[in-house]
Amino acid sequence: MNTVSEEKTAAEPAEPVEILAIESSCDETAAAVVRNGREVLSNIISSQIDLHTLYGGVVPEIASRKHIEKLNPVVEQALKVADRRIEDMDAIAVTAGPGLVGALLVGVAGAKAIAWAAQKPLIGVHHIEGHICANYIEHPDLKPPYLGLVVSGGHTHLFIAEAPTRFRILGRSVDDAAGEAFDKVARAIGLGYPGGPKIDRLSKEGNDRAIVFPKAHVNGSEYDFSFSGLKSAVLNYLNHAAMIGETVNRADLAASFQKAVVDVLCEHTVTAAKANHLTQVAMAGGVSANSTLRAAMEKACREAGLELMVPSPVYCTDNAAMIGAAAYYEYCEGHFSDWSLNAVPNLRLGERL
Amino acid sequence: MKILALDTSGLVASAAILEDDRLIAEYTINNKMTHSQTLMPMINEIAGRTALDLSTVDAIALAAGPGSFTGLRIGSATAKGLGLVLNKPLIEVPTLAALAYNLYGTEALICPIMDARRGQVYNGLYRFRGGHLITVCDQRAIAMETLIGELNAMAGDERILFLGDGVPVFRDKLLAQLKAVCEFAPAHVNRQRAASVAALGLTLLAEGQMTDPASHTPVYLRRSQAERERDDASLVIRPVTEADIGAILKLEASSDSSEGWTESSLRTYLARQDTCFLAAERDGRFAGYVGLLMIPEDGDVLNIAVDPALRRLGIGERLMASASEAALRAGVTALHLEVREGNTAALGLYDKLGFVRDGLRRHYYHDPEENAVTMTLRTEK
Repeated sequence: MNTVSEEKTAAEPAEPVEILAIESSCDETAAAVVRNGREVLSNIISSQIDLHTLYGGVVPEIASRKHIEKLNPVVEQALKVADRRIEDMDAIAVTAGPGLVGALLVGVAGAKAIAWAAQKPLIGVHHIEGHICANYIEHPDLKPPYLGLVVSGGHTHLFIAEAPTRFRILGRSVDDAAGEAFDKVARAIGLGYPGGPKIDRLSKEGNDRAIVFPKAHVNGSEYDFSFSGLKSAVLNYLNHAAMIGETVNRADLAASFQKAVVDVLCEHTVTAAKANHLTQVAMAGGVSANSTLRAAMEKACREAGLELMVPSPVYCTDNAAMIGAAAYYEYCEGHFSDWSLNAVPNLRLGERL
Repeated sequence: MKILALDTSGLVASAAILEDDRLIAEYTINNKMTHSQTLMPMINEIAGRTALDLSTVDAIALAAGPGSFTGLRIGSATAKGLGLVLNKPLIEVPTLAALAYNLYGTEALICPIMDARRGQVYNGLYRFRGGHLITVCDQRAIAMETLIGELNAMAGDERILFLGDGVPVFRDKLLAQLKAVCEFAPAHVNRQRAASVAALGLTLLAEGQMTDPASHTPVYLRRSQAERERDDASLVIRPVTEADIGAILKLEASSDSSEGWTESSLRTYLARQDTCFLAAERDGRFAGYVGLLMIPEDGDVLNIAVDPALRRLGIGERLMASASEAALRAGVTALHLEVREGNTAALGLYDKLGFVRDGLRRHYYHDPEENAVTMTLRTEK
């Protein structure tokens, strides 16, 4: 929780705005109360990770069943910790996409019923915009235009934020998301799920120059990424080693793979910021909790004279505080949803609900 | 008592407001729009049209399952959200009982069937007696073949009245294979209606059957595919050993039948060359067993039992299937068993495995006294 006082821009209302936000797009059931898009009064997350570890990844039907169980307790806890009643809220926000459709629908249906019964406005929020807005919570100095990078289990996007919730995409992954590549490589070397944190940990014991993997860029499109080729290179390396009966040093492999991912993310980010004359860089999404990526991006930005902002790890992985932050800007712009709000599993960044 | 009721268990989305013996509003749509888009606007519409004061609602009733998993959750999440804000209880109405309630007062046996895919239906059996809905058979997921077998075995000259979205799928099959006279409910009462959920919900509320919104979850009747596959993979069928004797005796002692083994009788049977005992082990833990007596070319199922905490996971089916295979491999051409007439779950399982009913032994079981159905599985020649 942190309290920030700041000058309000013209679009921001004079009265404080408090929003109850709900997030259920993947395997965390979360609710938060956020004041003015920056002050987090509560941030409750019920993770299902242990359950899905049994299956080596998120099982949509199991995730959806768990969301139904956790929905009310998480919302009630968020209000209790914030010391607020539902009547005190100015709006109810919910992640409407992208994500697992069955999982999203639980949050969307629950939020609609809460908003309707409490006679509050409803705000459908873009999950990726939520990740980006997580930066507004802790970095009051962050002001558009800035360069943004979202890296998560489902998304890899490089963009310019032209306004708090208006984004122009510069590049994206043409195949797997960065986090997906982490999960797949982790599975291939027997680390299990979730892959990101496990590879991050193991890499610290390995030499990141032991194996040279191809860079994950795409020929002819400067800012796009391709992690599928990199993943295949890792799998080929493992197959080849198995064929000639060679033992693979898993720590070296993890470190070298991670370096290939981190390098391309840093290079594209710095190049794009300079080319567009931007001085601020905001990184977000689950993979931005990766310690190697954070350190490398910090270094690359410092050397290029750029100011880097990354949320604390708790706001990097899925949470509802970030949804409350994003919802605040929608509220300021008068973007509300009606009772027919649906879950949109394939919602793209920049696409309106 | 004023009730707001929802049903999103199938293709139909339905919402109703009911106060005591008056239906104030009902809005039902059976079209292709998703419940996520339609349900809340429908509730908003009927509440607005009837100037519903939300603070006067006493409870929220919903079709609590079975049904489409996603559909159920949209209704559940909606009811939970309403209950949370209004601070009112939920009434969990079994989907199939609510469907049966559409046909209030009929003399016929009511047989709602909802298409559950994979050749199965969600079904329960109901009758009206003295103005009350009587559950003849509780709701379950059941193979259509098994249901037809059950209905034919019930025989009698009772009419059977079918309804639900399984009717268009299985109508021809029912007409061809059912001995009883079957009838099909007409359009205005043959699908889910929130008015029925509300009316039946009111009677449940009067009996004190309600749930707090936080603890409500839908009744799926089925595990997710991933859980099924994992459970199947974690299940091992192997021969019974000395080490299982304690677990078998404990299981028999806890079972509802009184025809259990004594330790010495069990040891005697285990030592015989003409018996076959198989154990099911789940995640390394004893989960159940089956015992066969084989005097070729006939075989008898001595007993089959599954740990009560691990029932409904398909363990009995795997045990029985393995036992049948073992018997047939050993030269048995006819495998016999007897089962309590009222044990519909076991009867359904044996039907599914290919056993055919071939007799009835009157008053065969004691505590409680009950007839035994005899069944036989024969090898195809």
